[in-house]
Amino acid sequence: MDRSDFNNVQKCGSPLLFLTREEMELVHSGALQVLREVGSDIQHEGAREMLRKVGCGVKGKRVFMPEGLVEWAARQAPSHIHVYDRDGNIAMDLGGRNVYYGTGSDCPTILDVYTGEHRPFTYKDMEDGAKITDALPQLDFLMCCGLMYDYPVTSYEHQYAVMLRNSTKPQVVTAANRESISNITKMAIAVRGSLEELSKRPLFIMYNEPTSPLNHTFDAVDKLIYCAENQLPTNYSPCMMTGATGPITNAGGLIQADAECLAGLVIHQLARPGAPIVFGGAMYNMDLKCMQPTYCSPESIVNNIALAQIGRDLYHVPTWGFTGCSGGKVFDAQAMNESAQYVFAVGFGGVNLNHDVGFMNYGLTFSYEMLVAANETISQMRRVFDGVVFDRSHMAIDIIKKVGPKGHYLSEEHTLEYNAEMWLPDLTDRADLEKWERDGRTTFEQRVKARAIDIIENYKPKPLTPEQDAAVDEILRLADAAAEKK
Amino acid sequence: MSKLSELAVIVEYGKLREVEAAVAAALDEGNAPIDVLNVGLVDPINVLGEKFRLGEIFVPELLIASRCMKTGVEKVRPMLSGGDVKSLGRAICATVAGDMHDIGKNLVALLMGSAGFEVVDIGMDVEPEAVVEALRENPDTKIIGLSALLTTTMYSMKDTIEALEEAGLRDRVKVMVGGAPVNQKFADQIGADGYATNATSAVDLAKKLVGVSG
Ligand code: B12
Repeated sequence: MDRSDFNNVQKCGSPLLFLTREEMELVHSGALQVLREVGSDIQHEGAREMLRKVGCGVKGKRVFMPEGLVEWAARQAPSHIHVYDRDGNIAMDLGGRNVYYGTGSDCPTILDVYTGEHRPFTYKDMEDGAKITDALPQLDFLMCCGLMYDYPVTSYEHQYAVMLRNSTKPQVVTAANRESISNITKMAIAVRGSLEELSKRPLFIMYNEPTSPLNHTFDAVDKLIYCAENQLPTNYSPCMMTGATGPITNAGGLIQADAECLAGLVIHQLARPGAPIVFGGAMYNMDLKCMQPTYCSPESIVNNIALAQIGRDLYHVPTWGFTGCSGGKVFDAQAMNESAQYVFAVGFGGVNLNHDVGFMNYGLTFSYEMLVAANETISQMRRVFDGVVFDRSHMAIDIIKKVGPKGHYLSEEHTLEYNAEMWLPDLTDRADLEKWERDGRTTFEQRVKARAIDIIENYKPKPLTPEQDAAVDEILRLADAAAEKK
Repeated sequence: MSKLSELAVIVEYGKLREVEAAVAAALDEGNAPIDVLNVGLVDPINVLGEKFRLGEIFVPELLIASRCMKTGVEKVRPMLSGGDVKSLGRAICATVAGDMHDIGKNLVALLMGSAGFEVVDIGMDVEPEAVVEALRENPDTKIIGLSALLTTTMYSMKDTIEALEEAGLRDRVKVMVGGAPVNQKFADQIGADGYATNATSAVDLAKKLVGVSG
């Protein structure tokens, strides 16, 4: 059931805040110290030159940023980013405590809905993923779910084409380098009409990341600059595995991650002051026995929300989050438990742009069942975030007086009227035992699987116009030809 | 407890600051340098390696103990004769061109190092020619470990193996590959000598490929 109109702005009286003002300042000050004293490795000559000119110390590839420059950059970035769907309607207002959910990207394998096996992710899987995300009302944006084995070089371009063709929702896109992000931009322009229109009503946000600890690769920096120059929104999210690529403690992880985000922010704002950027990222500890990133450990959840709090309340920029993921290998109770905890936490924490719904096996496997199930979780959580409405009619004192002691509310018009506000289950079972048995004794897992299959086989997304479609094909053809040449 | 056993305990518990003194004490006690090496320094690492494989300890416990071992070895080395410090042979580890994921490769290199290989870690985003170059600089290398974490960079492994062939060096070394998107089928396709899913099995594989049993 579509209840997406219920909220997006949560109304909790006392939202989740992990840090006091003083603690946010401690992280910020620690990050400034790291940026000035330790410095950052910037593997991009143009960026180093730009930084040198504004007073940074540069020694080889190491760049030392003065505090004032960092704080200047934080003040330039806008506090809200408005993102529009394929049809040009406003879809997300990133900023404040607004909460949006979307899929993850680039998994090498998929948990096959039909057979339950883990197998390489393919073109067809990408089509299914885009359709499912389009069909699920609680998912606000889509990422590419997996990286297709069928297109080893131009997979980012082909993935984008599939997303564009199978969903009207806005996207968060991954790209290898400037070339692939500019090909993706061309396809989005084919929809919007011009670059100007696209930057006025962005259809995608680019996903980008530093290489913890404190390293910024050529491609990452180059993509940041590309987005800034073209006024296209991007994020810059560390994927820090604390204990391996960052300090294992929450406070230490936060300080290093803040320093990495801020270094990106400085480069981005120097390239074009005021360009839109989303702040925040992950500090998930590495499990030091299995040596994989934990993604959804309790510590990761705290770190993610705390860094977003710093972004929102200290720097006043839109924030980036993780959600709806699991370390589990199949769609089971562990997967549901981990996914639901994270959905609730980022919602309650007021993080804006939350990705990775559908991730299993620490980002190595994507599951469409997880996605369908998370839609139900998000829907419930959004109702929770509505909190309590206080107006005369909702306070219902008149009805309480009317019904009085020993009466009941079942035949009151007030009950019927406001029942429309109650959350209604879609795949969640609330039947009595007899009806549940009559209906086939299904488990939640079975209903989720059936829904996923139903969407894959029957859902018809709104197509692109023939002109847009042809333009996308031409861009792909040129990209493939260029790749072939290399 | 004898000073030799005390040394072994200090290594096992990763007490970096106490190792040098403990080595000196074990030597003062009259133990032969070769026993200090094998019983005091190497044995505890073998014990920890096994515990790690079984999931009984965390990786830093093994890696910090390995640092202790190395510190201790430096201290006894001047007293040993050439063949005493046994090496399983030289290995080169790299993350292939275009790929910035180095933690898996680092772990493989570290665990190979603590198992007794002399590892030359040539970093991440390493072009095929640079691997060939590293091999020329270290002609006694027995095995090359290549890591890739991206569907889009795993083909650089193939390029690297081809570069070794073109340089006429392919037969001189074993090549093993690993990383999240890689599997046995792919390893076979590109003509690698072996594939392993994690660092512990990478060590076993390396030993097998150079002909020592684990
Ligand atoms: C941390 C991380 C990063 C960090 C890397 C930091 C660093 N210093 O290494 C950063 C943030 C830089 C990063 C960047 C990117 N990443 Co990344 N990253 C990861 C993550 C979360 C963990 C990788 C890791 O270190 N794991 C821990 C180590 C210990 O495990 P491992 O590497 O697998 O190694 C073990 C085994 O594979 C094996 N092994 C490894 N090497 C070898 C070698 C030999 C010889 C042998 C025998 C065995 C072996 O033993 C190891 C120890 O047990 C993975 C998800 C995941 N769970 O793997 C994504 C992941 C690998 N990244 C991914 C992507 C897409 C990217 C980006 C392209 C994103 C982007 N658009 O910018 C960039 C690429 C940058 C580049 N050009 O390389 C995808 C890959 C998708 C695909 N199908 O190819 C993944 C799967 C996540 C996802 N679903 O999106 N990433």
